[in-house]
Amino acid sequence: MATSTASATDCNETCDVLIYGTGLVESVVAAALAWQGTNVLHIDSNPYYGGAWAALNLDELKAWTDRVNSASNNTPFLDAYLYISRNLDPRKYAIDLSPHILFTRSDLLSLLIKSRVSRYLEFKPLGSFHTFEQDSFEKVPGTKEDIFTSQTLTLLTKRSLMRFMKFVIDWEQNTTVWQEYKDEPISKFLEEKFGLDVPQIVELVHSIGLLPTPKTSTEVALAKIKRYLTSMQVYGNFPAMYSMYGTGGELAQGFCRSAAVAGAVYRLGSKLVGFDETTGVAELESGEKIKVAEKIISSETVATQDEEVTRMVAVVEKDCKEWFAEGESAAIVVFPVDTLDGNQAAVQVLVMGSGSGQCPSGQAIWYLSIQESGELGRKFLYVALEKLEEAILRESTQDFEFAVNEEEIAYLPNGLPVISSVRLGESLRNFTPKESLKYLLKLTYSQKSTVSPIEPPADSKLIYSAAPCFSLAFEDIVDQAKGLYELVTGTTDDFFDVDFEDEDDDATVSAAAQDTEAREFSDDKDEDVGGHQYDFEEVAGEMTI
Amino acid sequence: MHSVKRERTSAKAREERRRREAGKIVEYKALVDKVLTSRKNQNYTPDALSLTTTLLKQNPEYYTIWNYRREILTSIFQEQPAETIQSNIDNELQFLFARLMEFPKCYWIWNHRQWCLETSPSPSWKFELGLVTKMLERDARNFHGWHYRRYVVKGMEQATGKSLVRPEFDYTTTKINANFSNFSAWHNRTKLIPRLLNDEPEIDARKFLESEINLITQAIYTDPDDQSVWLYHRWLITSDDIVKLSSEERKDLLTKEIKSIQELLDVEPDSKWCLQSLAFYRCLLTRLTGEAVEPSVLGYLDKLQDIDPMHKKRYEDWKLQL
Repeated sequence: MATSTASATDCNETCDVLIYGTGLVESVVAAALAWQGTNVLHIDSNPYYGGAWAALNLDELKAWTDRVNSASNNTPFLDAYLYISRNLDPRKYAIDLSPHILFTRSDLLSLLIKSRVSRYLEFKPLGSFHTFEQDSFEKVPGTKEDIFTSQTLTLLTKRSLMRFMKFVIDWEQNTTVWQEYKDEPISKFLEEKFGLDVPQIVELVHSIGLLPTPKTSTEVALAKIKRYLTSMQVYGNFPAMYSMYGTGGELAQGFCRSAAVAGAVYRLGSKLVGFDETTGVAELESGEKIKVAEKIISSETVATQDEEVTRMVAVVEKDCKEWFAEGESAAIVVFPVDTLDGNQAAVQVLVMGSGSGQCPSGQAIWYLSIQESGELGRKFLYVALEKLEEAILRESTQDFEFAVNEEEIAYLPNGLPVISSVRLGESLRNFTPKESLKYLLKLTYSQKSTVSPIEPPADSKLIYSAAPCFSLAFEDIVDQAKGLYELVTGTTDDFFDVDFEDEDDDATVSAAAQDTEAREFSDDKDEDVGGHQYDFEEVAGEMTI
Repeated sequence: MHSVKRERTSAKAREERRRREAGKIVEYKALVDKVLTSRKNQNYTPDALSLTTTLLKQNPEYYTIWNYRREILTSIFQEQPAETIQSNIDNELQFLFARLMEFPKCYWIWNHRQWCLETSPSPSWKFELGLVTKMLERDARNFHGWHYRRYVVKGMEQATGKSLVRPEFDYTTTKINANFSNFSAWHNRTKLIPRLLNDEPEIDARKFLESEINLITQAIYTDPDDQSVWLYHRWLITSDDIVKLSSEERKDLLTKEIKSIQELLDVEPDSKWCLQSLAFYRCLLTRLTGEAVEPSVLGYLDKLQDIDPMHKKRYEDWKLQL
């Protein structure tokens, strides 16, 4: 960034902390600082909130593509190729630049509830996780019930899986079991210590752990696997959620709103062009000068790592409801390592139906990503795209006939027949679809990673935040925000240590979540445990059978 | 700024609360005295009923008060026509519903509900079935609920003349698939199977037994620590209520199951239930074959004494009996 030559005296404005970029982490810090009484000025060069985490309408997306491909690109994105079909209403779409899901057992969700930012948002459940195996999408067993009722797992496999699941819930305590495998690949650990077979390892690694490769170290992998399984216990039936209209951007906006309530000032469309370390004066493109008393947090980080993630967004003219669980509008599909002609990293797909508010009804958005760079990354994404296309055409077609042999049918104890999905995959492999899939939008681009928080040189007022992480789930957001907060204030003790005024009970957040909040944040042992008092007469009157 | 930093509860606030509770205790004791005196005086007026309502809302476990309440209601109902009794019973059922939501495992509430249905001129079994289904949705393992369900189903069957064995059996399947750690669901299943096989003679009892054994084996392998699945397994293997097996068939069945459990023991050598079941079944088999007890049984019992020291004496006794 250029240094400004302005002096402190001719400033239009002053603030304690200037935050440049309304990405998710920056917005969390803004709110944290504002609630602690810091004078925050939060600006963004874009005309929208969210920065690299934003969800854009089609007009914004076109402008974004141009910016990314221009010489003055200062985003973590590069090499954007965009195709948009004609006659689309640009405002009916919200294309998420860094799609993420939120696990129910996570620091971020706890913070959302504690800060009441969750009240600005509408969350939806995500319980459908599929692994691409043997040319079909298998739903992953994630609970004791799934394992019990599975028609495809053998008895001994069920036992091994359950034994592992019991261990992983408490893995940090059982160091003797994994200590020697700490830095070894998780696949080796699962095979040698728990006798798990390849299909189970693949599912655990890719769909439950959402890991890019089975070579991930055991210590890292166990934490990720535990995250999914313990998240199943929070609301039941689904381990993750997303927010309507694009999770990252909506969460960022929510925290910005919270910061504004606490007194932070917001300005969009304001580009930072210079900063003078000695005088502490920041200069905007408009010519305005701002005196910054403490620090600047900027999302225009310069330090990047070599790793890239390649992404693809495809809007299809299919509602894809065949992939969604009952009452849900999204799903995750993972193509494990080596299932797409030699991919060394998994391809992760987030399918968003129209119920997510990101596209009109009758359509869906497929977000594909792979931790592989450039040409190679795009190649595998295209192969995965083909498989998805085949699968959705096959599953959604009406006039489809196939002969099922007696041996392919098993009977449940209650007499109902069930067709083994593995054998179904075999039968369907020779299916040729009559129709082809219509793509309304296709976008590919790459994204670089950064490290956060980057240790600023001593006495520097300028701190850089990190770009969005590559993982499909939000990771380390709260930790990163705390890190930045500490660089500004010197401590994390009073990070969001605030008693927010209670508005009317919010129906969006379930009692279970509030309970967790009460347990986690109440350090007052003498407090009455406030249970929800039922109004009995009301309940009796409303009872419908 | 609207927000305030959190304050800690002071010793003063705690003392306040203690004082309030002491007051509540005095109030409660006074109420109890009043109600018991009222009963002694054989007061069966609507006022007395209100008194019991207040007391029971605070303490539904005090069964004497439920008895008194029934005395009052019986006396009141003596003078009333059927429609009034029905309407009063309906109010009573509503009152009980609210109590149940707060105390779903109180014997006396369920008991009083049963009394209401017996006293009701025309009980709505359909409504009751819906109610108990809802209660079991909230807590599938509430044995009060399951017991009450059997009562309601019986009432329904008597009223309509139609057997509900099949839908009830399917209901247990649904509950088990949702969570098989449910002794009450399995127990209910054992009550239904003999009737089911009787009602539907086209079912091949032996094939049915085989599929049930397959089902329970899935559960045993999924969670060998769960007591309810082992008890159901034992019932399947030893009961004569499913199908009358010949001695040969019984021996074959035992041998097959012993092998299956042995395979599980191989991967879970410290499983208490595996060891217990193997010991039990092997003993049972020896009684049928007339052969001597296998030394492996003694090994299991020794191991059990180690891993289950709380029942050490029981295993010692068992060994002595061999």
